[in-house]
Amino acid sequence: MTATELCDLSAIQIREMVRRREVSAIEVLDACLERIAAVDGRPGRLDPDGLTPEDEQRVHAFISLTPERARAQAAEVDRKIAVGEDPGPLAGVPFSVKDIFCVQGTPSTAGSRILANFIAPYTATPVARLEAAGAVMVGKVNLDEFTFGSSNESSAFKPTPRNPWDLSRVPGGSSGGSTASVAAGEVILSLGTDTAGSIRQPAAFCGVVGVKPTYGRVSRYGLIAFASSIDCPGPIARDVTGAAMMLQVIAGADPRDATAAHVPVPDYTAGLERGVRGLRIGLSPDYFRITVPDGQGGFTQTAIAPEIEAAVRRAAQLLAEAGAEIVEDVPMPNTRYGIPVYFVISRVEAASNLHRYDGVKYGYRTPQRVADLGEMYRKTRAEGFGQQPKLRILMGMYVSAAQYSEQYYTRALRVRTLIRRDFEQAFDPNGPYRLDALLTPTTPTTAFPIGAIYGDSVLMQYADQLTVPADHAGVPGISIPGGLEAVIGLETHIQLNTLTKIFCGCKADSWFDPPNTNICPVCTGLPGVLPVLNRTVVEKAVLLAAAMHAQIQPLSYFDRKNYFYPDLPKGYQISQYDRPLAKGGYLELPIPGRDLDLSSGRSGAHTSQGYIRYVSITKLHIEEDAGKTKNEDGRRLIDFNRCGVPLVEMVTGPDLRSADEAAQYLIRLRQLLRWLGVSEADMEKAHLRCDANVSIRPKGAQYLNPKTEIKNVNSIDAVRTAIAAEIERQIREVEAGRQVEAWTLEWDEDAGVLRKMRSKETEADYRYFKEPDLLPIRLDDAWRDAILAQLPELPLERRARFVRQYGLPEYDADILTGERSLSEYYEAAVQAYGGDPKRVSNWMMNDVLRMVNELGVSAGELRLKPAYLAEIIKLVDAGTVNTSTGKSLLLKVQETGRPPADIVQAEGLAKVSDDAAIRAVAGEVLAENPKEVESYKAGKVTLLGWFVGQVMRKMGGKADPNLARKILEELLR
Amino acid sequence: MSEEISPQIFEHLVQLAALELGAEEAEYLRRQLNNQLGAIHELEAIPLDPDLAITSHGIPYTPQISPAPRADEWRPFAHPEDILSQAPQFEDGYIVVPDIPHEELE
Repeated sequence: MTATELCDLSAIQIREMVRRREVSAIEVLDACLERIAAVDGRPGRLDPDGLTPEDEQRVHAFISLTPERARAQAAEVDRKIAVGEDPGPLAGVPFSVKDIFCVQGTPSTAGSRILANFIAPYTATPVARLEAAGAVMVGKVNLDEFTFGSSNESSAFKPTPRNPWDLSRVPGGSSGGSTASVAAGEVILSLGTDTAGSIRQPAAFCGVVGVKPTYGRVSRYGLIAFASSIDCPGPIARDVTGAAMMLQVIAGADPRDATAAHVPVPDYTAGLERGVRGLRIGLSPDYFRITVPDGQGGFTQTAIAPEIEAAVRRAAQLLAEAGAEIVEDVPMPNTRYGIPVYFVISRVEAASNLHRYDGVKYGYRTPQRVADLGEMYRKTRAEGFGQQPKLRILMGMYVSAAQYSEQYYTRALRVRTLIRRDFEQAFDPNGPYRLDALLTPTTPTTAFPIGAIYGDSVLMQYADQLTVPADHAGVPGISIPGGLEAVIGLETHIQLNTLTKIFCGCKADSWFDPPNTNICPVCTGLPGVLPVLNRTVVEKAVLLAAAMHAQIQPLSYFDRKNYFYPDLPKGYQISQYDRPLAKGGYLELPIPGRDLDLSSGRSGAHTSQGYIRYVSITKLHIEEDAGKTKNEDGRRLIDFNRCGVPLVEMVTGPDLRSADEAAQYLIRLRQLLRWLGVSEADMEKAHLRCDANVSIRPKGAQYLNPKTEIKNVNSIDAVRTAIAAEIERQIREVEAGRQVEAWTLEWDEDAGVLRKMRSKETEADYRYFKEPDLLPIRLDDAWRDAILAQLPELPLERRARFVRQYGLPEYDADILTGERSLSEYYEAAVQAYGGDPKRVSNWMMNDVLRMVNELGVSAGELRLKPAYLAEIIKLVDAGTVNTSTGKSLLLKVQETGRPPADIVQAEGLAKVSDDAAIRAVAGEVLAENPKEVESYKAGKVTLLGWFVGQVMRKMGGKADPNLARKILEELLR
Repeated sequence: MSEEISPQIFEHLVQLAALELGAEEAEYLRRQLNNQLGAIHELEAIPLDPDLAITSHGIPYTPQISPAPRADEWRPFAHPEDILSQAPQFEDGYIVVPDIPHEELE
């Protein structure tokens, strides 16, 4: 195994290999040191020179390396194994230590100038335990100064660490060096600390596992203190097993720490095998909301980003599938007070803990001349501390000073009790929720860019709002990477609905024709033939490009794309390569909100909001189609009917993020194509074909991983299913430690599985060159303007206008603009009606739409013209006919094509409001049904409705039902 | 003679061209190609003005002399059977060729 791979292994793999002597501890150490040399760059220093371009491409996790110490430890491990002694449970596993821990003989700086020259004379208990267990300490890693921060930017030792997944972003903090060194494969494990989330938040940002143990589980002896009642040392690893192995070693009582609890340490690794079956795992709405500054000095609550909520719910789904029971709607109402409480309590303790840095006993003392001790204190601390310690010291002074203390400090301690109570209630085995664990997002955002937040101390602290409650309550927490996002681009081929093919006079549509009957010498590539461009192809392509907001090129060229395939008669496809008809373009894709229902059939308790996904278009060009082939008994059968059909190829950027978004894109594209009249866009008839490019990466990353291409998906549902299946497959591969390879996959609709196809030739092998048999397409202003004059108001624009202009709800507007002729019908009806547009909308959405669907026609083809619909509604408004007659009139007008008023007159449908007439019929009904009359009088008053029905029946449905009811009531008294 | 087209590159070209060559023929052709490259390299010595446009057809096609695209009118070919009768293997309306290799995804 090569050195590079050794440092990417897990703790348990390394321990086992070292113990079995497959590899030596020295070799493992060397692999890590090589990785560090390759990626870490210069270590953090005081007063460094400015940042160079190379610095920006390195991780800078370390402040000081300890290679001699590490080598001695590794050699000792190898020696013990050689002589048969137990090398320890972490034998040969390299680890880094957050430079907040004292380690004998090493600079232990706390990331601060004030301790830059401090060489610790003793070793912190957790580090000593790790070394005694055979682990190998590689060095001290960078951190926010005295652990004050959530981005690692406040360290006095620069350059500060960068996120290995995206070096322009922060690794998180304050254990940023720890998580960066693990994520980059520089070490296998790291020892960090968590006070408001300083293990879990950077673990989330760096995609590694971080554990904050229960307060008091791990000794704090040797940990340079921040908030004594909250600080927790804890493990950071790339996998949960590594974290468990490390916690096993460092946990447990310590005679040097009076707060290290006397609670037996269980076997954490044994618990791993049991899995989550039977565990109750809760979700809380209070963790899907975050608090943000409102820009005016106050705070407001807003929903967390939908991708983050979706990642957590996906995790819940996986846990449910693994046998856990998911409990929804667990209230944790005091979550929102976590940061305000933290601002008070931590600062009081920190200010006091920082009193000892006074230039007297160790660390920095001001070199300036001083008049007295007071001046020495002041200058030493002013020069030695950075801005973050100063902020915390001053705030701590303020909230703990005598006259302010009751208001701030004591109050904060009491709210801390409320926060603790939220957890007690959630975890109470006799309570309403009886949870074993609460599942939440770790961070309100993904890793932010370096420099984006630093300087705003409130915003920076709020990065910890989801982690700090566990610190206040003392309960343990673990952050697990879950944020892999899918990156999807769609290549669509759109068959234009011209009459003839693009380069010859054969028909474009031959779906129902027998094979090889719609052909000619040109489209079958016979020797000597030449292509001649169809002008309507250009016109329809220009309309589509304009609707996609693309730049239409006045001059564009055709190119030959050369390859061998039996359905490609010329051995090349005429397409457009680098000078296409249009460039750029985009679609603002509305993604509807939906109910996110999890398990156990409960109705959706959580609605995800709708949002707009911006989809860029990277290619939009014209080309000719190939023929069709099918497989039969080991032979290929070829049909050339489709050769030369005009296509527009349109490719999106990698902008879609889920299978559902991909489906929405196709739905809107299909709507647009039909709206413009450029394609029937029926996927089942291959008018609209789609290949999907799918890859995954950590959420928030900016780079792209290798992608697979999925072909042969023939319906929108198949696109959704195939993409979802491929995303799951890629996630499984990556989680198993393998790479995703750039395969071409084919979707087998019947079996519902993906199959790997032979790999395509690369772009260079198509040997594109300008098609010499065709002249460039010249789109002069006159021609272009004539085409664009046909561009209608687009569907999403019209939907927005309907909402604005007619006051319709978005749902109604979406339906009424689903199809162009339906929307035109609606507007014409509203014009003719002249009254409340919502009334017209109700009649359309209920009755007219049903008619259109049942008859299988477009709204424009109805004999029930918009003016007639308006007339019918007016007749009902005026009381001339009742509502049910009005509804029946719709069908009568559609059948006969006659105006409604004519039919009303001819068939005598007018509402009968003649009191005498109704009275007479009512009398008959009562006389004919004496038993019912008796029941009514005896108290069964619901029979009134039945009597009304009988009167309506006798009067052919024309009676005014309200009047009939009044009269009957009167007669039945 | 330059070795610009190495045996590996030449093999790749043979695959792209859907050809199959014996060892002697391949070597002969490869040497001939490399000799020809010598002539092609003469082009590199010529200084070219960055504004010098390409000539794609010899004569310049102005809008005036460029034929317009054709109208979208159906003109069916009268005798498709004359095309299909040329095919080496034709059955039940389809042109027949051997199958294309596929790989199963495990």
